[in-house]
Amino acid sequence: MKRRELLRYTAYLTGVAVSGPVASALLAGCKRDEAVAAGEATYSPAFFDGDEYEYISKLADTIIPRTDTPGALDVGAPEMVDKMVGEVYDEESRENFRTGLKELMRKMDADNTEGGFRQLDGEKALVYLQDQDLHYKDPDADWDSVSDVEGTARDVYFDLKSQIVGAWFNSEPIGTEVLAYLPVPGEYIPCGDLEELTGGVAWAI
Amino acid sequence: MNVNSQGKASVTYDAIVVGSGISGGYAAMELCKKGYKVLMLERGRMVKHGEYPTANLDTWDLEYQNTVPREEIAAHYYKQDRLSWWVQQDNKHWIVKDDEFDYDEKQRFDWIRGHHVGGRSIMWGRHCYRWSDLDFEANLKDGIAVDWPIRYADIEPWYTYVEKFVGVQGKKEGLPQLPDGEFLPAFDLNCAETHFKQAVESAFPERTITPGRTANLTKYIPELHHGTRGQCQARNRCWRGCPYGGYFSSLSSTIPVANDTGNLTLVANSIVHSLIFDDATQRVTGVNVIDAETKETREYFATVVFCNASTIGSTAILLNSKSERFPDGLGNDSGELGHNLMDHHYGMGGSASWDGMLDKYYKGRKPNGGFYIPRFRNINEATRRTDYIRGFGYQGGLGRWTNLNAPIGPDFKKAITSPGEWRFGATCFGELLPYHDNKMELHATETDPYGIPKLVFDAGLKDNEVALRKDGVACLEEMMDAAGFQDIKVHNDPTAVGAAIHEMGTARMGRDPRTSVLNQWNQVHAVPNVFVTDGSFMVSSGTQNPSITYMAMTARAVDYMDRELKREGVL
Repeated sequence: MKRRELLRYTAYLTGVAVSGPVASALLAGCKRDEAVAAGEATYSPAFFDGDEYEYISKLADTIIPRTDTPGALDVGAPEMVDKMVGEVYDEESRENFRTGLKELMRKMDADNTEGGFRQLDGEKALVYLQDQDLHYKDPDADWDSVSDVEGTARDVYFDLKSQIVGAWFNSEPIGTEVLAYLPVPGEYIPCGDLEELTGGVAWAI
Repeated sequence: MNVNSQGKASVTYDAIVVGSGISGGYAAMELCKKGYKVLMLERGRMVKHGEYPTANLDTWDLEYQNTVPREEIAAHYYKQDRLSWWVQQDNKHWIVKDDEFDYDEKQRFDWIRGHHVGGRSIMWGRHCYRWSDLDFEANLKDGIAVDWPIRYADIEPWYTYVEKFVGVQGKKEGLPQLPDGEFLPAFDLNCAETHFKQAVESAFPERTITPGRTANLTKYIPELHHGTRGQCQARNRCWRGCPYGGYFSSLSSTIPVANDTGNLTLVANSIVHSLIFDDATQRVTGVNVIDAETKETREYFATVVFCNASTIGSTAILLNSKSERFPDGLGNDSGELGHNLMDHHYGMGGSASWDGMLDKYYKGRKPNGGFYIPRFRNINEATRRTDYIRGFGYQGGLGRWTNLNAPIGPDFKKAITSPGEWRFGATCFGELLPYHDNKMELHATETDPYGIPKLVFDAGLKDNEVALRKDGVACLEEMMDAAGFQDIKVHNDPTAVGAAIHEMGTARMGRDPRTSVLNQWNQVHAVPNVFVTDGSFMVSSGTQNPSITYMAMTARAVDYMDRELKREGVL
């Protein structure tokens, strides 16, 4: 995956604030298959193979687990990743993504020799991935000098994380029930107290 | 040519308006209100107010997280999408497909179009800023191109006239370079933008930060805002079309008013091929039209023709209207038709974070971006630059962003559902000078699917623009510094001409028929029953978003035409 391309898909996470002729197409989601959403059917990935999809699902569940609010799996984040990479990316980006994902999977299994990443329980997976996430975000690391393969794995990790966060953040359950949802504000209040306006929660849209 | 079987009378009108966008809508409305029978021709499909398929879709309702698959882009939007922010699921039905309506470019030119009734008035940015004599006198003082044949005093009453109807929200600032207008209550700056304003104005007294002035009805006044309009709901989904009629478009505003007069005939899917010139009278008698669906040809006739097909569209029609009298295009005695193509240039700006006022928030999504910083360079002797002439302005804003730095896992959810730090973003819009060699022309051999010559663009930025850009970026950086922002980043990636979608020029006004296409009334010098009142008449580009100026000049031209016709009986 070209890094510029990555930025394009995930620019909303890098925080380019409203400016000039800016399309405010921020994070968004998409309608899920109703039976899958209701838990009555299993989603069959169209682009990823079974192995790849399991890793992506495990990553999603670790990054945003179910708590008192729905987690990434509950809102179908891996399905969205399958759809985005499989249908929105172009052929080259798609192949680069797969190459990086394979490397990320290989690395995650190499780091977890007892049964690999997928076999880790929730707590262990979280500890491992938090460490990995911090390592990848290390501001002192010189990522331009690492091997292409390693850099690609890191790029794909952030792409995946962005997509998982995006798919969760803007799914209908999170948008309407967890975040502050106001489709027709009717008025604009330029400056108010955060607690009074939303109880400290971000606006959904 | 097939004349309608009912005879010429049935296809004859008082006036033909070519185009239904922001200036065409205004021309038709003004003509209809004065009692003229008007035929409005639109090359694209019919759309009526309310037919906005994505207007009420939430983000989770839109396919592919509101993005468009790359393969669909590659097949249909390969030029339109070079503006990376432009082609989305929620607006792509308003965007022309490049594979159907392609063009050539000697230098990259972003020709962004929408073929449908209402044109780009549906997707426009809605910013409305008056010009001043700083702009109208600029060419004369700088000794470049030609002098504007008008001054602020000529257009001032017309700004007032159209602003009252359009409905422009904004704040009066009393600036000579950006005259105040008839404003509805402003979408005020939010807490962080107010902080930015105070910090910048204190550090740089000649700079002003004001809420962006846009055509959104913050206060709907039925006696003024005729049409199918209503209070702006602060949804910031304007470019999808607004079912509330909360912003100004041809669909919500001018076309309904024109319709109510009973004088409007609106025909969609009608591509104007050329104007019909009558050598005996030295006047245009009508237009040649190709049906966009059947490719059949038709003629329509009128006493007067208003060209409002856009800066590029109108000039293309004029260039293609060849006759013995005008072998190089109708009204092109000067040889300037197609030349002096302008736009604003951007791709220069900055971003930053701010960790102040984290207990503050806002409600509603204001549709004006945030703030506007009017031009502050070369506005007087004290601000005179030696490295470039003219200036630039900025649009920008601040909003609470998503905090993605928290550790992943259960706490991550809490972090990302709370508003993160403030993010600042601003884009600088620079003036592009009118250069004769920045131009559009008809392709010598290739045609579009309708047999109309393909267009070729050749326009670019030059030394003055490059120097101006450096200063625009540097000024923004020092303003972000003054506000105490963190993580300050600036960029300077010059955009192609056309990318600001403010294309102007190509049929400029002027005092002398030897060097201009139109006179001070937007009238073709040699063919007085043809008016051109879209962006093609512009003589310089200023730094302001230009649409309100097109509307004011359109209303002024119709008024003039009406008076002349009543006085003289002919044009």
